Amino acid sequence: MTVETEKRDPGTTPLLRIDDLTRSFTRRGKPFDAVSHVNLDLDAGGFVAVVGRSGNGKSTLINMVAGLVRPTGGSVEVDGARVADLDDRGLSLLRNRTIGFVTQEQTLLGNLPVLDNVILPATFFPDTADGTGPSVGEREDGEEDGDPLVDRAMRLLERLGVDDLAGCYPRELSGGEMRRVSIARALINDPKLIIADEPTGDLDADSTTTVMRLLRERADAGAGVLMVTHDADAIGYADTVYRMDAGTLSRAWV
Amino acid sequence: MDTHVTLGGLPLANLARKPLRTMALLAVVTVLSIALFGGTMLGMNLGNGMRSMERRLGADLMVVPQNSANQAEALLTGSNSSTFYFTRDIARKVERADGIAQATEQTYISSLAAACCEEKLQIIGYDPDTDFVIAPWVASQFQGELEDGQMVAGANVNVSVDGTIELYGRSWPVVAQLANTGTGLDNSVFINQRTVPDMVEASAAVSKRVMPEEYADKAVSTVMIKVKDGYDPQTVAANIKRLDTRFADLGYVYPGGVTAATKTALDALTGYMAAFVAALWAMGVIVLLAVFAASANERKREFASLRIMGATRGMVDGVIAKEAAVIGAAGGVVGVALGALGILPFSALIGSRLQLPYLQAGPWTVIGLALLAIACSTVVGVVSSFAVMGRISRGDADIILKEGR
Repeated sequence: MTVETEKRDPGTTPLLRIDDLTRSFTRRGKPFDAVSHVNLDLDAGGFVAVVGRSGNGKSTLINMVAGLVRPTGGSVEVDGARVADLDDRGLSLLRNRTIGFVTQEQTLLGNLPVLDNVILPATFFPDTADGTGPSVGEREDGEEDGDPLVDRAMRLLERLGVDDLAGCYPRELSGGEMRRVSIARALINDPKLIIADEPTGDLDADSTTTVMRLLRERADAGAGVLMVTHDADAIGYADTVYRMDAGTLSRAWV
Repeated sequence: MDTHVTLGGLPLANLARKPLRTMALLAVVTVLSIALFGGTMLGMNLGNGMRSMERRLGADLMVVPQNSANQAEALLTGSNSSTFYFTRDIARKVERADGIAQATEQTYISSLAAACCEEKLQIIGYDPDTDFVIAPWVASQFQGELEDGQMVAGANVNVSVDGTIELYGRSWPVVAQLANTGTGLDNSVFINQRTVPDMVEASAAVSKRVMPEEYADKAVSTVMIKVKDGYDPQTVAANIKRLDTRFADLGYVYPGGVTAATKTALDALTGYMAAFVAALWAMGVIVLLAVFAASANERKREFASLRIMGATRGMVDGVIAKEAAVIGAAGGVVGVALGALGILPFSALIGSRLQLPYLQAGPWTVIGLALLAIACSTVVGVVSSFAVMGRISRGDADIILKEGR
């Protein structure tokens, strides 16, 4: 499912291909590689966890995958598209339709209630969405709103145990609740590639289980999942675990 | 039915959820809009009044009684009514001077406060047969002959529903009402010279006699003169003075000079006003830029979130621009409404306080000016937001997000 560069099969195109990816920064006048010559393939249906100490380049790596940070060298291909070659619309479309990104930071919009926060990304490119997405089960309350996006968002919120907060504003939520809403938002467009930066960082054990089961379910349904985590409970859901150390990526044996 | 949020609705949600910031920005734009709309309309109305006065002062020279020149000028430019006169024999002698192409006599009587009017009424007797100043203007509203006892009313005179004016205890039929001129003539009524004695008698019957009985049929307040080609008014005035040594003491008013003096005062006023409005706008734009820049800094996380979710730079710029446009347009509308409320109902008061000819522009001009003020307010809001757009929507979203922490 996941192979290092030297083992790559030239005949197949993985969902995510990272090739010799490097990002350099300068700190106090001294250049250093936050990410150094990283190679990684992730196929559809694969679930990769990246672990490592803080400040070792994990977030920089996944931010480059999402096109949020420009690499200094190397390349990233997502679903056959070379990220560096995409124009603003192409890159935005990739982030919106192909990638679902759960950030480490709290990035919910404070002026929108929870339900609107979850739905909003699905409205950016209305021509490219059917508005329904794959089934994530029936709503527990059995109600249907009539608006497919509302129904889908409510089902995701239900799965994550925060549907009762749909009308609340982010400032009314705890850190863990905001995290689960962010995950629902990342999944609203049924992304092929889910990138999650510490998705269980603010969660208790029960919520961690809920979230990780949902991510595993998405992987089993064919999505690729690339997760950065410190959480030992979360690592167990991954197919493969990598360790990031001083900007270099290596297979971890856990 | 789809009831969910859209990117297009996000700016309105942002404005609604930040009422303090929204109200502060609205207040700034409203002040700018009031200044632009109000200042421009005042300037325009003063200009209209000036042009109207120029049109109404068709004479090159006015010869008035001794010590009456200032009263005559005030009567032309402002709303101060007066009574002054000499006798017709003097007027006839004046009219014989060399260089006069046309001459006509007018008689001015200042009424007491009348029921019809907010201020004292200026009664102007003129000779329809020789007049070249008032008659063309009256002819635009009234084609017939002004009979004895009839009146033509100025624009500010309140005429009863039965078409009369109650003055000195008598009802005087009004045959026409003139359009607004923005000058003291709007508070005047016009009668033919033959009605002047009737008016004097009427005044004597109910209050203080406005002039002695023996002068009623021979009082002339001014001889209005149009000079022949090749003569200037000063030369004709000198010719008049040569006719009789006593004529040196008469008052000589040059309406062109009155117009020029008024124009100078008007230019100074509109110049100050334009400078004030420009300074206010410059300050307002700086304040808007500062507020937008400050709010953009505190909203970096929000805009980075949109980029992470997949919004294009254009979409983020659109959110910022739409917020600014809504504030600009709303502030523009409120400013125009307040400006209109402060100016339109008080035209007469403003004109009288400024002591300058003031003629309210027509409705289409006002509507055009209102639309212009709203458009300018909207544009200045959007342009101010441009300054912060680049900083927000360009660059790596991750770095913007870090800056926003």
